[in-house]
Amino acid sequence: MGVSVDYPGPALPTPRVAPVRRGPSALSAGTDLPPQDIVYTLVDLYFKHCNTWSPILDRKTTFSIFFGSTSLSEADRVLLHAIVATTIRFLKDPRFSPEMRSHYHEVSRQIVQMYALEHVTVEALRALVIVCLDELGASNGPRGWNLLSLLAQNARQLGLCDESGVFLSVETSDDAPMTGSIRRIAIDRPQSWIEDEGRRRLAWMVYLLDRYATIATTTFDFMLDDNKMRRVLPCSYDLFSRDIPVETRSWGSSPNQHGAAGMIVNKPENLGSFSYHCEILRILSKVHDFLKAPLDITSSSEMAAWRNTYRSLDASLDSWLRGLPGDYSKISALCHSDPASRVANWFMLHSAYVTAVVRLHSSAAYPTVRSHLFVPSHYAMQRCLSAVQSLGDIAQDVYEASGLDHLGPPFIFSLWVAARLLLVHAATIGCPVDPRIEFFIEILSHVGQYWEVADNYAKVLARVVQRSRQSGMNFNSMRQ
Amino acid sequence: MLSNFFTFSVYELSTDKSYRSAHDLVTLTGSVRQTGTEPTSTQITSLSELDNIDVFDFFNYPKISEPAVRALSGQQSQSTPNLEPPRLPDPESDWLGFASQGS
Repeated sequence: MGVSVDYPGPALPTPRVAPVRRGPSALSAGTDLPPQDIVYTLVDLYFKHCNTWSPILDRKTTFSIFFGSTSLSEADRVLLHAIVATTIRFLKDPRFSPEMRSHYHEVSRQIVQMYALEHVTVEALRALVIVCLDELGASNGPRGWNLLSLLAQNARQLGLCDESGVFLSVETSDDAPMTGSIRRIAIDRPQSWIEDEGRRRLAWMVYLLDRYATIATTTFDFMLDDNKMRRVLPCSYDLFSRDIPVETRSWGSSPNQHGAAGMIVNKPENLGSFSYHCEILRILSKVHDFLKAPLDITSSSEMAAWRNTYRSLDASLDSWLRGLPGDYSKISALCHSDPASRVANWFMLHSAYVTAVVRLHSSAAYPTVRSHLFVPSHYAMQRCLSAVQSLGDIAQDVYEASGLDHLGPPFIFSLWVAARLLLVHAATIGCPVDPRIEFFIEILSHVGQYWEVADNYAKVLARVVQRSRQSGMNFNSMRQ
Repeated sequence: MLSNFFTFSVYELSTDKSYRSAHDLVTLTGSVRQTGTEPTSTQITSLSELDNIDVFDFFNYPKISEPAVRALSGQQSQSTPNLEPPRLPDPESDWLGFASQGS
């Protein structure tokens, strides 16, 4: 299964671009983190609730760094702060009052953000990704987008979006340049497959966060251009964790419209849930760019071309779904060893599919602006409605299995998309708002106890549904 | 369900109106000045209008090119959503040409 790759092995991990030192580090005191036992619990909670769908850290390596015999470096402490800031929402320790939570959250968040502004390193980027989960899990708004722009720029500066083969190294660290060439010696050659694959996962996670945040805005462009994201797909978590180098799936520089035919390497047996998630986001990216390109809906030639691209994107989505391992047990094995994580990742993949289907098909099902050539399509509507139906079924299953807290903001976004689809459907064809919207609101409220963004979505939906009912009731009372 | 149709269809029309007003507001705030000396203005909005944008703007796709906007501005009834009565599209004449595959 694994392939032989020559890694130098654990050697001197010296920082290539030494940060400018300004007096003693505030972290050295060590009083700004919660007590040790709480920190241990929080790291454990991180792996249970976040690293499942944001699998950038290897559990064993991380635990041995944090709780092993060696002392923590500054970068390690910053990573710990990132985990504290993002995971404290899951802590159920009665010793922690809301004020204490808020205090530790704020202190840790600020330490990570300040560190990431001053250090362009893989470690700083990793910590910032984790803090970005916190920010985007609270609100998909300008503060999160600022962090994302920093993530995207740092990923580019560190060359993380390419499968770099050669790394420059200067002979003595005293000669570190302070000019444009500084970028070329930003990072060392990876010392192991875990480190190599860890960087690949980091790049994909920045890509993932960018995709979800940007698609939600409807007007912004992606911060990381798809043409510049030339990483092969990540492997399964199991192979990452066991440090087994493998090939996965990669595309040529100019894949055709379907995205699949341009594959250079294809080893589906080494893919895991994160691989499939990244893959569907590539299709979702194409859908977003396709829908954003201005269209002349009065031109029959433009509409014919638009319809062709639409159909090829639809085919890409179908092909992705068909490419998922059909056997549930097989995909479970590809995800994580923890049973709860396995199920959660399987549900998350399906919810990502629902997001992509609704994103594409709602454009033809519920066009805001119409022409004699462009009217609501019955087929597109059916695709949207059945996707929403399946997400409702998935959410019901997850709820009954008490697994909602294992699914993060990508799943929440899918619920938000589905619930809004029910409203736009009612508005377009003048039918009752499907009562299942109440279920989506309930689920969002429930998840909102962990991720505030879900609570905000639930409140907006509840207000819109409430207002439409009130105006209906007023009219009824006027009739009587 | 049929007996409830009239009652429901009225409050659904209010959803329909929300959809349209969200679109109008987004279009309005997207308008730009041709010169720096053209006057600016403030549009007072409400929480309910912002909620409508949150809900409906996600479906404000595909983006329409300038020539089409100009062509449609002469046919007001088609350039804003749902001025014609809301209804189910006809599966038999689906312009996407997928009718036979529809679920």
